[in-house]
Amino acid sequence: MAENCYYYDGSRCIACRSCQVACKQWNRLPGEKTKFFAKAGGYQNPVDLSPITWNIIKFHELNKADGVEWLFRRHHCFHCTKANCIEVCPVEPKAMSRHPVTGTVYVNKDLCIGCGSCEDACPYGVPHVDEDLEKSRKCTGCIDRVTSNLLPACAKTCPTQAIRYGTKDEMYAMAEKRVAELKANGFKGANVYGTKQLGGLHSIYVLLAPLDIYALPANPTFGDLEPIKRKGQEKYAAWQREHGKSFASVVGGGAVGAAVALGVAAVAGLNKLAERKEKIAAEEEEKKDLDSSRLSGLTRVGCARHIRRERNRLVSLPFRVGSMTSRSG
Amino acid sequence: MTNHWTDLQNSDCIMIIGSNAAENHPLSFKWVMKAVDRGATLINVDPRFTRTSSKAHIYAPLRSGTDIAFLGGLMSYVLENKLYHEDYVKNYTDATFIVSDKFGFEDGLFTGYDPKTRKYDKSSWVHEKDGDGDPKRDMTMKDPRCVLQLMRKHYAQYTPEKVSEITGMPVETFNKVAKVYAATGKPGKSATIMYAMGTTQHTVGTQNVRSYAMLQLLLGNIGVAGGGINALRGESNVQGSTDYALLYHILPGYLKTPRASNSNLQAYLDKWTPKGSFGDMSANWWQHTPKYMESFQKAYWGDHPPNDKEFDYHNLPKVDEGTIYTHIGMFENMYDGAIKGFLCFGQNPVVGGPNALKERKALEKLDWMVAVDLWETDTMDFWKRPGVDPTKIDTEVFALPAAASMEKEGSIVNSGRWMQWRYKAVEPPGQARSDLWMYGRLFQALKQRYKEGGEFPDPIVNLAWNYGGGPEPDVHMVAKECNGYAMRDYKSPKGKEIKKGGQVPSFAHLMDDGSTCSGNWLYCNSYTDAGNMAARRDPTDAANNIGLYPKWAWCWPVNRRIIYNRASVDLEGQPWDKDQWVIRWNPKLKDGKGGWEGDVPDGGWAPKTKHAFIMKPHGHAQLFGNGRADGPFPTHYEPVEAPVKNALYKQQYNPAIKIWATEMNDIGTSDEFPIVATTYRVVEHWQAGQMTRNLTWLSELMPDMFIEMSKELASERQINNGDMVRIKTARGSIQAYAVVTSRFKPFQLNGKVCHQIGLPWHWGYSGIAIGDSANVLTPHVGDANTMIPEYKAFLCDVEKEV
Amino acid sequence: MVKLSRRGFLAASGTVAAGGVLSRLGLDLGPSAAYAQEFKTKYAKESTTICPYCGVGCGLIVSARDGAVINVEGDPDHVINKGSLCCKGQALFQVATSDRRLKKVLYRAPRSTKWEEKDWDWAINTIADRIKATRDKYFTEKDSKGRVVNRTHAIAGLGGAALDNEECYLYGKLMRALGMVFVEHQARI
Repeated sequence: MAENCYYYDGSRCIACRSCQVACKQWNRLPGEKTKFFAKAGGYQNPVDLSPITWNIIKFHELNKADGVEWLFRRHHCFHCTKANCIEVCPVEPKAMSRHPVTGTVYVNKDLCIGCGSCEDACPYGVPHVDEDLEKSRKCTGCIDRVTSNLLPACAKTCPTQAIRYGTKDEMYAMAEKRVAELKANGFKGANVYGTKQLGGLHSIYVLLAPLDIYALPANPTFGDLEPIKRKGQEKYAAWQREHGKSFASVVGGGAVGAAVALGVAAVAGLNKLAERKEKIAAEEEEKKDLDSSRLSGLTRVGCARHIRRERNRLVSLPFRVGSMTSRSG
Repeated sequence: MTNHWTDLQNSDCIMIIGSNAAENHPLSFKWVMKAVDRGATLINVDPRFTRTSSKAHIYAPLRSGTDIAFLGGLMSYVLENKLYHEDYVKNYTDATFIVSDKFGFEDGLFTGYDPKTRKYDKSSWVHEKDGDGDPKRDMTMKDPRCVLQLMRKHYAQYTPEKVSEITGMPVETFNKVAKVYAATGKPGKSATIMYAMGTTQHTVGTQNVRSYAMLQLLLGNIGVAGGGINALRGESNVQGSTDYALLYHILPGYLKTPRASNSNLQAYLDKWTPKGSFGDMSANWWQHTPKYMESFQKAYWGDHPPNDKEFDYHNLPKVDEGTIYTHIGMFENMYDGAIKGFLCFGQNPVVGGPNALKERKALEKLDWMVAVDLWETDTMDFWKRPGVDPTKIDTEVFALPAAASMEKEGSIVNSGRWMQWRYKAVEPPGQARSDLWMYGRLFQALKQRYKEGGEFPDPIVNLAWNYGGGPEPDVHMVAKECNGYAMRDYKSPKGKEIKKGGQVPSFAHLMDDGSTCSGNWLYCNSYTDAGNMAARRDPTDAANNIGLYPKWAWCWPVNRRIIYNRASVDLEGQPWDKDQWVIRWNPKLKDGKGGWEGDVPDGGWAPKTKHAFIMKPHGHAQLFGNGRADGPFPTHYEPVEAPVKNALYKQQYNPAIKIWATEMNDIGTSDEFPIVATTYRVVEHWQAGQMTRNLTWLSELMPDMFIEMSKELASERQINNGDMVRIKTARGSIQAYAVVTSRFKPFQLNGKVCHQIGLPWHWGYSGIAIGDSANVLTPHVGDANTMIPEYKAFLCDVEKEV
Repeated sequence: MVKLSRRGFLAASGTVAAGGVLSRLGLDLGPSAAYAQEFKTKYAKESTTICPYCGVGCGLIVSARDGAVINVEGDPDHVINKGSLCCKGQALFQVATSDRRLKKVLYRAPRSTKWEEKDWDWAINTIADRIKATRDKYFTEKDSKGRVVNRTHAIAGLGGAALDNEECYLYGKLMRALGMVFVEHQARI
């Protein structure tokens, strides 16, 4: 496994917003108080990303001469390759981090002081500071699931596989192929978004209409980041003064060490994956013979079979009919 | 569903009509999109542009309540252009049957109509019989009295222009749909119809469904992979609860509820056991009714003395032919004070029932109500609803806390008839208990009381209740009784020796002499000596590799995944579609005697020995539906509240519906209420809302009641997106936020502009997300056959709230 | 800058404590906490179930620890949904854990303005008394034409599409034994 990437295909999305709820469920985010709908043209809610909403579906209604079109797009962290949020993070070591293997950009909550620099610098309005917690919060890329070889919650739950997740190379190629297919089928406006922006994003879209419909910047920039950086550094300095110590000594170095170790552990974990997968496959084969005639589906204790199943799924994203068996554990 | 969810992938053309599958059955779209990936055309027919429409190749707008005009147009197109599947139609349907020359149709009325009773004398709606009592046929289908020719005549008026004038669908859109859809009449091609409540919730709901079935029969699309007519059911077990007959007119397995006139068991069986035609060629499956009825009675009263089937029959209540027991009838009777006590299990009629103000008022007339749910529902709270004084409401209310699906064990049946087993993950919270536990406790308490005396105690004190010793009946013992077991050692009609207490392997082994019990014959085969079939989880596919998954769970009947599959093959038993075949006859099987492979066939008989449609007494699917209350051919009638005159006939609306001229049920006219309204659901909420309006994640997505309307109507009424709007009908008025959208467009009906608005109906006054209920607006008006309410087409007016 | 008033939703629904604690435990922040959550799911008791919402019949896996549901997601082995869910099925976790669940038997006396909490014994016995009294008072053995009908029109039963088959069966059995004929449910509407 190399760098990973989210893929979103607007031509497959039915805007059921299962991804929004899946994100809230896995990450235990509370519901937001909303009213009516956030924007005309559809059912969008909440109004935007927030400290407790990390993924939303946006709706765009197009009234054309030959009929109406209803377009959808998801909005969450793009996990940019050239990530302003990391660049402006004043904390040392940086609280806004990049996972060394997957390329996912996530907030290390132990380090974050909630200064808001990332929120100010993001061209897509993704990170938001939770003022109660004094932490910046956003899509984690389900790094916890991914490093355990589970699909991110949103990608797993998507009924039509409009959201997928896989290696960056695979997803980039899939997007190009899909756009070609759509164009051949009469969707002249089909285009890919994200492969060229900010060094190539780790979340890309297949879209059916030009970017302005979706209010997406073709060349996202944020002008001069220096003022944001300076402000952040001031805030960090104030934070240090307030706490009387440096961050590292507050958390005793342990958290920093842990954060670094995490990355290492994750790499090690991934390296072991192939080995584990082989072992699981062998176990599965063995069980197949034992159980094939047995009625099953009983309560399964601790076998986490769905997790094993997904290990296989990650490397083979398009779903297959009847490709796996499952029995009582 | 005649087919099932994963079979959608096999279709060449999918028409979603009267359904918003992407929103209300989102996982169907996993398979719809797969079909599309494989080249299928997706057609969506709907008054409004939905999330389903957003994925369709063809979006065809249609004014609410005009499905039959559209389907009649499609049938006419198929018949006039001879695009039907001729061999299929000739051999498997009644298209060749000759209809009595006394049958006729004029200006919207079939022969035999009595305007006083609003009922038909159906004696002229019959197939002519030959000397042997079999239907007369013309295999050339040229006789003007044959069903095919009568259909042609009936639908000749349904031209594309007429269809457009009635439905508001542009002629070119109609033609586009007709061309693509009719192309599946070619052998080897399939099309499916996915429908839901947008089809059924009309005064012509039953005939809407029939029109779909007739089109599918003409095109040879019933019984084949990727075909069928597929009712997408809206509740997780509404299929099972229907199979288990929580309806007044049926007993489990679709046996008929005894009528008062069925004075004894023999009279009942004589009335409801059909006689077959065409000799041995017709399986006439309902000939087995006596076996199923007796096995059912045994499941209820076992071997209790005097152990006599007539005696057991009298334990069953008999319905009165003059009383209307349906949902609407129930609430009308409740409103009139005839109903004193009310048991309500997981339903929320004050939000979901039609004419909600009346139904709320009706609850005030009760002596007592028991309501069981996971939540404090709007129905439980009716006595403290906004605008009423609880101190003036006498009804005693018991609210019982129920266990949720993951807090108990048992089976449910999905739309595709798959019975799937669920396990208990955790205990229910607090005092919450499973419904099974409640029935167990309640039964013991009642039995105790009736042992001490009371009216007609026999059926209660003698009720067989052998489900273990605990307060909660053992769910496996219940499931085994539903399947059925041997009451004594016996030899089955199939020659199998079964010991007392042994599970009956399938309904072919049931007996009418008291040797077997079966709580629901249709489920006989679901829990056999091999175990609980519903709990199976082997995803291996069948030999035809079309996604039948025969070892995953279990489906009725006898694990047949696609019903009517004898029609998927030609007379020689070879599939119309060689690639996506459902069943096929292999002469080499069984040591050269031959046998079927693939799905479980509709009976194992060899080709040419039985007609294809085994449930029909004559073995043929009926295009001529003479069992219906409102005519053998679906006919365009306007909804009871309609914006225009019927453009085809003098008869304005369905002549055979019951008119409820009662209090609090006024009917509006288009002068006062010029706008067509329809109700629907959204993916973010569920039914009457108790399961979603109490959850923060879903309430966040859709917090408030809203109305959807076109920009044109909004501009006429000076309404902006987000304004608060008042919607009025003859029954009541509600408030809602306005969604002004291009997804609604006014219809052009013969040059006249007709506005339509849409209302989701999930909201009520209890829960986190609260709002006015759309059903305050809907009438007590029902379908002629089923009395399903006409929720989908009524008249309203809309104005900006000041 | 997002104003934190948006967080007020749970407060409005009366479950601020639960929501607040969850977010403050940091289950939702960085990977380290998330790893802990993953660990919890991995060794939890897993049960398969079928979604209680629409009629598609999607499979889900419910993870529970110490008698409490800790995670619900689509069952990847299930042949229909293959791990996917819609937003409703995906929200099932909240059905299992909501503070809004009815947890007590509630009783509202005639003309009363409030609920009273009751126990099950009282409820079952009182309801059985009511059913018997109403049935016995309004039982029809023979109709006006003298035909044996053995029924009561005075008690109606509604609902059941959310029940399991076995529950539907016993509910139907009990109602028919009582002679009830006003028996209807969601399939009719």
